[in-house]
Amino acid sequence: MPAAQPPRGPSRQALLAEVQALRQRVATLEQEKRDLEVMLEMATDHADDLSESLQQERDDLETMLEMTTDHADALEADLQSQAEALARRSQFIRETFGRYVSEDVVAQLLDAPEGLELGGAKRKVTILMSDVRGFTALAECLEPQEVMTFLNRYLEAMVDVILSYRGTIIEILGDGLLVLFGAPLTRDDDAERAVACALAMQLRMEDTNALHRQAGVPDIEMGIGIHTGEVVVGHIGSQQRTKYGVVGSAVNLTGRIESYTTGGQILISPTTYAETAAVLMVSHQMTVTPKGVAAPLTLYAVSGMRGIHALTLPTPTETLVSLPQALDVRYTVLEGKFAGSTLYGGRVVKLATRMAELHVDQPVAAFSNLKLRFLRPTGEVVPGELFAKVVEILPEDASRVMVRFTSVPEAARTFLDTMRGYEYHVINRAEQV
Amino acid sequence: MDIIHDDYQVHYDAATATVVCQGSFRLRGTEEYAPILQVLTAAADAQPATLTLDLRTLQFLNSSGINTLAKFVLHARQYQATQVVMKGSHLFPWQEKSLKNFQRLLPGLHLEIE
Repeated sequence: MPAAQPPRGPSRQALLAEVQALRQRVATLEQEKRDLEVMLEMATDHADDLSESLQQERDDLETMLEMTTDHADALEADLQSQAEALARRSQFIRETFGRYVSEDVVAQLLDAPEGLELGGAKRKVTILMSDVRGFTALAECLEPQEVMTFLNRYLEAMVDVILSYRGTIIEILGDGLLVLFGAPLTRDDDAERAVACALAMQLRMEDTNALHRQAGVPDIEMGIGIHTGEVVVGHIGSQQRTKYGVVGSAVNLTGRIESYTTGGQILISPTTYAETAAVLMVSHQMTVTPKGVAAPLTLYAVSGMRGIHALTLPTPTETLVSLPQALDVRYTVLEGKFAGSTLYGGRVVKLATRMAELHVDQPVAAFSNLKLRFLRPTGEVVPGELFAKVVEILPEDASRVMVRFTSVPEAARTFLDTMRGYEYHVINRAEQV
Repeated sequence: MDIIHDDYQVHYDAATATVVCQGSFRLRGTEEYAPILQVLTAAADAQPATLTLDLRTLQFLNSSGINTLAKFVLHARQYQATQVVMKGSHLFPWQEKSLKNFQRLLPGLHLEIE
């Protein structure tokens, strides 16, 4: 019998232990796997969260960028419309004021639009009104073409002067001008500049007349009235047609003051006088009672100015000569622009080139305007109508008045020169004797 | 907490939980806007029921400014219990165009333009 063999391989017990160990290992691995799976899931979730939050941030940033761009666009659009509004305003100011104020005033208006009250504003201004004497009569003896040339040459000269004194031309009515100093921009020296401007206008008128004389056109004269007062300035008119204008009783009063002037004269009101007295040269003063004004008004006739606007009007060299024989005249008194219907008689006893002493049959009021015709010693009427203003009623006798001719047609001028020449001749002969 | 400057002012009234921005915001970049953002975020951090940002007298706001307000809105968004109200004015055209964009960041933002 063969000997018993030792058992081969591990014992059953060892195998069981190994199996147990393997099971344990599998269980651990399974746990680890589960843990890893959980961790993976957690990591994925976390990554998702992160990604979501990044996406949110990205969305927010995109939104903010879009908002910023939109906002910049909105600001640009605002700026554009503001620029357009400003351009329209500039254009409006240039169109409205450009022709009537100097370029530097336009520039100032553009720089400081708040100084410009377009809606209408009450403000103190100095008003200048000028009128050419005898223009209507002159226009009648000139060809239409000549009238326009003449008028334009005159206006060009005056506008030039006015703009150089920073005046604002409100109105050009034929040969008359309405000018403001103190609107649309106020300056401290508005009244002073207005008076200086009037002096400069009168002096320029002399130059214009010199030009006209070369062309054979008779001299013309201009009267200027100035007043300082409160007015309303602003845009007046309808939607279709609007202009920078002025209203107020001060404007009407300036017109009245102007109506008291004779050719070459500048009359100013007490309010303007008060503001300029320190630098003013006054030749004389007069008291008037304008229509619609309760108290008498003192007017000052300006002959010059001292200071920075130093200007002096030439002294009129009028010599009245006594006529050996009084010249008969027939006259009517003007009421406004119309001649009255009643014809009066009178006699001129003294005569200068622009002045005369007149004896009237019926008393006339100071500052009346007369339309008159001369009669030759033979009794026939001298051709041509003259216009004259009563500038003084002689104190000794109310029927004796001084008149100043405002318009003398060529034919009448020849007649009067002859009369005066005759007088000189007589005087000369008397001297010889 | 107020910021007073010649060109702009920021007033925070804690009692009414209102921040009023006035004048013209023309500051440069995040750095210069930091003090304003600080006032705004502090107002949000108080977590009031309603937080009002009154921009009716804010005439001008530059792009860095809109960015600052956006940051404020994002900051306030985290407090879901706070209702953000933004007040604007038709007087300033940019407000009509830009303020409604804040609702893209915070759909619940209440916008009042008068």
